[in-house]
Order: sequence, then C-alpha cells, then structure tokens
Amino acid sequence: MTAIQFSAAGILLGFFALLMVSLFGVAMVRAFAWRRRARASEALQPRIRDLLVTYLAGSNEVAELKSFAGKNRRDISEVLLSFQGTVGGSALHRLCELALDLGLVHDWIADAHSRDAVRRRTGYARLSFVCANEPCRRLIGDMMFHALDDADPEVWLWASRAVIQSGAQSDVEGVFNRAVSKNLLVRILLTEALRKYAGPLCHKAVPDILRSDDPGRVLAALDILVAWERAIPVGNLPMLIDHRDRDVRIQALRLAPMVPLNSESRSALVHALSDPDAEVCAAAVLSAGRVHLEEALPSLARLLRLSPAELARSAAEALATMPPRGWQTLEELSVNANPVTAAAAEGALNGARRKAAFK
Amino acid sequence: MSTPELILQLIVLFLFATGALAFGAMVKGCYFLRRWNRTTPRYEGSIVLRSPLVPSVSVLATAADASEKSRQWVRRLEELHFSTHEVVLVLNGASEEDLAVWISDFHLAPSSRVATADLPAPAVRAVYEAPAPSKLVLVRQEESPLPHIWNTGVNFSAHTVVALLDPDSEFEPTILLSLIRPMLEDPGRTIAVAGVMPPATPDGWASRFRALEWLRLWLARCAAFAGWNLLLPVDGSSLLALRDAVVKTGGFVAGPLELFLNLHGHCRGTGKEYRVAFVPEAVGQARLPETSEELREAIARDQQELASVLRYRKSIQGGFRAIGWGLPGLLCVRWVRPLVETVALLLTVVSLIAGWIDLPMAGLVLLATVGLDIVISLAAVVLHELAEFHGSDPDRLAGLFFAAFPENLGYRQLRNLWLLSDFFRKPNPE
Repeated sequence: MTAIQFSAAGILLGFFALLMVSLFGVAMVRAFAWRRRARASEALQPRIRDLLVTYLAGSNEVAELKSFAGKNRRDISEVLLSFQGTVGGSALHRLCELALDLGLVHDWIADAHSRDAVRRRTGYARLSFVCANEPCRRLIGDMMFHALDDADPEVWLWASRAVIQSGAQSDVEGVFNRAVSKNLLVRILLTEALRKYAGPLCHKAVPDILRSDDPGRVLAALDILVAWERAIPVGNLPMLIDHRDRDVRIQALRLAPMVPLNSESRSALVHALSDPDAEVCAAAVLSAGRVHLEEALPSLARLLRLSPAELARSAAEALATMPPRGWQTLEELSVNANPVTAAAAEGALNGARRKAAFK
Repeated sequence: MSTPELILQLIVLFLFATGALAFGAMVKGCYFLRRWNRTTPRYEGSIVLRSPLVPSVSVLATAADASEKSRQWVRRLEELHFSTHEVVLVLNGASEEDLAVWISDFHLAPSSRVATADLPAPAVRAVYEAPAPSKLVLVRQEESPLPHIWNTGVNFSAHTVVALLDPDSEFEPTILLSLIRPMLEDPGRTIAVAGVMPPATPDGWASRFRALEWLRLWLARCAAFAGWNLLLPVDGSSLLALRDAVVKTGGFVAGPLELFLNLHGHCRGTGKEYRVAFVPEAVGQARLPETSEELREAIARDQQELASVLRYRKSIQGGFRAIGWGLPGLLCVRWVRPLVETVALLLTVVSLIAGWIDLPMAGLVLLATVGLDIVISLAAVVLHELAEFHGSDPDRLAGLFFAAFPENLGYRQLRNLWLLSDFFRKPNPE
C-alpha cells in the first residue's frame, strides 16, 4: 500500500517538476531573447538618435534612417518617442512626417489593434504622440475617438491626450466631460493637457458641470480647476462654498483664491469660517489667509481663541498674512490666558516678522 | 499498520495539503500580478509630483541619537520626491548633546506645533521645526517603547497620510509617488498601501536562499494576500496609511504588522468597504543578506514579528481572526509546517532504524518534505517570471532555479529549526 502511495506521490511530483522545468525552459528562451534585444538596442539607439537629431536640425539625409527602419523598426520607434516633450512646433511636425514616411505610423496602428495589452498600450502611446500632426491624424482616423470608450485606463489616457491635441472645442469638452467621471488619478494625469484649454472650457463645459446635481461630478470638476492653478472665472462660487456636500465645500474653498472674488463670494468665505466641519473650516482659514480677507479678521481671531490646536495655528498663520491689523490681533492674543492661543499667535507673529525682515 | 507509520501517513497528508495550498497561493499571486500589470496605467511621475490634488504625506522616522547614520537617514527622507511631504522625526530619549547636533545640523527652531491626535504616547519635551525648504519636524520625547514612538509621530503629523519606510530596504526617491497611486485611483476605499519588490540579483548561497524565500513570500504573502484583500506588510516593505484610519484604530500597539492587522480588523468589524493595496513596483526592494549570520537575523526578524502579533493579539481588533483565515494560515506555514516537517524527518530516521516503517514509507516522507519543497521553490521562480511581461536576466533566473535544490537539501531543514526557536526568542530592541 505504502509502495503505491510512494509511486503515486512520486509520479505527481515528477509531473509538476517536469512542468516547472518546461516553463523554466520557456522563461530562459525569453530571457535570452530579451537580453539579445536589449544589447542590440544599446548598440544601435545612440546612432539612431544622432541621425534623428541631424534630421531635426534640417538635414534631409534619411537613407541611413530608412535602412534602420527596414530592420530595426522597434528601436527607431523607441528613439523617436524619446523626443516626446522635448520637441515642438516645426521640429515635431518634421518628426511626425518622418514617422509617416518610414511607415512607422502604420505599424503603430497595427500595434494598437493588437490583443496583447502591453503592445496595444505602446501603440496608443506612440499614436498619441504623432496626433499633433494633421497628416498623421488623418491616417489614424477615428481610432482615438473610439478609444475614449476603452476599458484600459492607459489606452483611455493616451486617446484623451491625442484628442485634446486636435484642439477642437467640442472634442476637448468631450474629454473634459468624460474626465469628471473618472478617478482622481486620471484627472490629475489629464490636468496638464487640459490646462491649455482652461479658458474655452470655462465658458460652457465647466459651468454646466458645476451646476450639476451630481456632487461627484461637481467635485471632480473642482478638482481639475484647483489643479490648473490659474485664475479662472467661476460664476457660482458662493453656491459651491455653501454646497450640501462637504467635499465640494472644501474644494470650492481651495479654489477661492484663484477666482476673482465679488462681495457675495467674500461673505460666503467669511461664513464658511463658522462651518461646523473642522476640515471645511480649515480650508476656509487657508483661503482667507491667501486672499488677505480683512473682513475675516474677527472670525479668524475667534478661531484662534476657541479652536483646537491645529485650526488655531492655521488661523494664526492666516492673521499673520494681514498686517497691520492681523499682526495687531496676534500681538493681543499672544498674551492670552489660553496657552494654545498664545503659543500659536506668538509663533505666527514671530514667523511673519522674520519673513518681513528677510524681505 | 504500526503507530509511527500511521502518524507519518497523517503527516504526509498534512504536508501535501499545505504544500498544495501554498502552491495555490503562489498561482493566485502570479495571477494578481499579471492583472495588476495589465490594468495599471504607466504615467510620468512628474505630473503627479506637481499636482496640488495629491494628498500630503508625513513620513515618520525615529532616532535615539545624533549618529551620522541617523542624520543621513533623515536627509534621505527629506529628499524624497513628492508634492508635499514632511518628515516627523521622533527623538526618543536622546541626550542634550544629541539634540544640539540635530539643531545645528538642520537649523531647527522651536515650534508651536502641538499634537493633533491623542494616541497613547509619553510626554513630549519639545518640538522643533526646520525652516523651509527643509521639511523636518523634530519631536523630542522621554525614552519609550517603539509603538509609543510611532504614536508620537502620528500625533504630531500634520498631513492626511502617514508613511513608514524601512531604513534597511533600498528605495528610489520617487517611492512615495508610486505608493500614493492606489490612494488616487480609489480614494474612498484605500486606507493603506504596502509596496515592495523581491531583492535584486543575489550573489552567494545565503542571498540566493533568501531570494528564493522572498519569491515565495512575495507571490503568496504579498500578491496573493493583496488579491484577497488580506495584505500585511513584510520585512522591507514601504507603507502608507491614512492618518485618520490610524487614529481611529487607536494607533500602534506594536509594529507596522499589528497596525495593518488592526486596520483590517477595524474595517471588517465595522463592515466598511475598504482596501489595503499592494504596489509591486521596482522603486523599493528588500535588501539581501550577504552572510549566513545576516540570513539568520533576517529569518529571526520575520519570525519574531509573527510571534509579536500573537503576543499582542488581544490589542488587535478582531484578534487572531483580524484577517479571517489569513493569520492562522500564516502561522500554519511559518510554525506548524516547520514543526511537522522536523518531527516527520526525525521520526522517519528513528522508525527506519527501529524497523517500524519500510523504505517506501521513508521515501514518501522525503517526497512530502524535500521533494515537495523543491517543486514549490521551482514554481516560485517560474511563476515570478510569468508574472512579468518582460524577460529577466538569464543568469539570475538560472541561478535561482537551480538554487532550489541545495536550498531544500540541508538548508531548509536547518531553517525549520531556526523558525521554531526564533518564535520564542526575545526580539532585538533595535
């Protein structure tokens, strides 16, 4: 009986071991192929780069590049893409046209249709780069628009960037509208591409979303506006500062220093300093300090006297940005009986004086 | 059938069953990593670096003196690439001379910063802050045990996320940018993140054996556990946790492992939908031992952490079942299985000499111990390779694959004895 068990276990383990050895063999073949390819690229890519730099400098000598394109299409594609973000204007168009001439754009379109996720992503990344060029865009056609519904977040990102590059108002608005339904990471990654169109977007797309009943979309739109870090007109800021959703209130308050404030917005900001939610209150304190909101002085002084330590410290910092009245308040409160208030007031005042002396 | 033979039959059954489960966990880990690679978008860290939407991070650090090593560690933390981060250094019972060195080296000035949480911690003697652009906040406190030091750090941290990095691991300055990604992808649910990669190319037998152990650990205890949302940090991990979540669960009761168990236990207890995410990116790697002494120490550290969890189980929400079957499973692999393997081998030798069992039975025991462990180690190497979408270095791959044989012919049996004894060994306070 034991002998049978032994044989059965031996056969079972032997089978597994054989399977592992076979998989190891496959892995070794792949590892050697990668090493060979990496070494070849290491040798070739500097030369390809030199040729491309010469080409971008105005040379029309492409014979050697064409010969590389015949045998080493992956290397030439990689080097070409490494220029992303470093070239613009006519040099970028020249590069895109070269990719078109060498037939690389066709390859990338084929890659983008691949079932292999990694190859597909690479294909879209490369196509997104050349979408800045009109002839390339024509060849790519509607692919990027279709990819705006793709389930792969990376493909979606590349497609969005490509569509934004086209610069058409409706396309950019389309991407913006989709972006507010995506997660925070995607919004962060698209901020840079959308910033260029902040002005046009603030005419219609942004106000439409900010008036939406869906707090998630409103918050997402506010996230993007805050991340733009530039002056933008937002008509309904007071309404957003008083929004029922606390996260929307917090983000609207973070946006306030970037929006031209009218009297209504200023009073909404002062009102937010009395918000029962500590985080909303802290955001209001920061914004009041940034816009030097003198009407907020009494509320800030109250917060410095009565709030928990961290909020009191923030209120003191905000007061320190508003000399001379803010400093005067801090001086008075630095001898307060409450040690937290006194320490925060004294610390902020000393810091502000040091900074002023340094200037 | 004699009694020793019956016992050995049961042991063999147990070893095959646990071996199959371990293999299953590694397959699950491989599947998780492949899916992670497929679904996680690659992006330029610089975009996240510049964004004001990224939550700010307080990196916690401790020091007991002002040695060059401690100051270099703090500088390394200050130089991390991130949009907004600070380093909260808790100086634990250091002398006046040490404090003076810190003050002069980092240009520290007294700060009005106060604790914003009241996790159990000893009295703080003073708080200092470095002027911008430095990001250091130094909190000086009475000498106290490690959990209290971490709690002080959390109490004085000003940001929404706290980070813990291992001074003994190797990481890139961009590590926080990688670790924060799950919190940006799923900000509502992600309460903590752990990131680590298996160590780089091993050199020498000690590091090869450890590298093999790392592969098994990484696939099963990191990736598979992350797939089941039971992730616990392993030695060398870099960690992030939401400060609010840490405060809500009562802070540190022992080390980071207990903290993560507490976070799991709390969320499971309240029925909250949550996620502890795993970041398998090459920005952070555990360091490999170079000598057998270092290998021994690394194994002891792992085992003492697990023993510590059992010691503190009553302070952890959910106790021994904080992550369901995860902790009992871990104990089974790290303590029960080594014990059973050792007993099986000893009993086989004795029984064979005494004539209680025949040779096929002894062979069966060998298959269930040495044979099965070799296959599992081979599988770890292969599955790690399958999890990647690119080929690795063939020399490294072959080195690890063939190290699975000597690993299980002597070293593994010795390691089992270490695991059994280390479980009861008092941890090194450093």
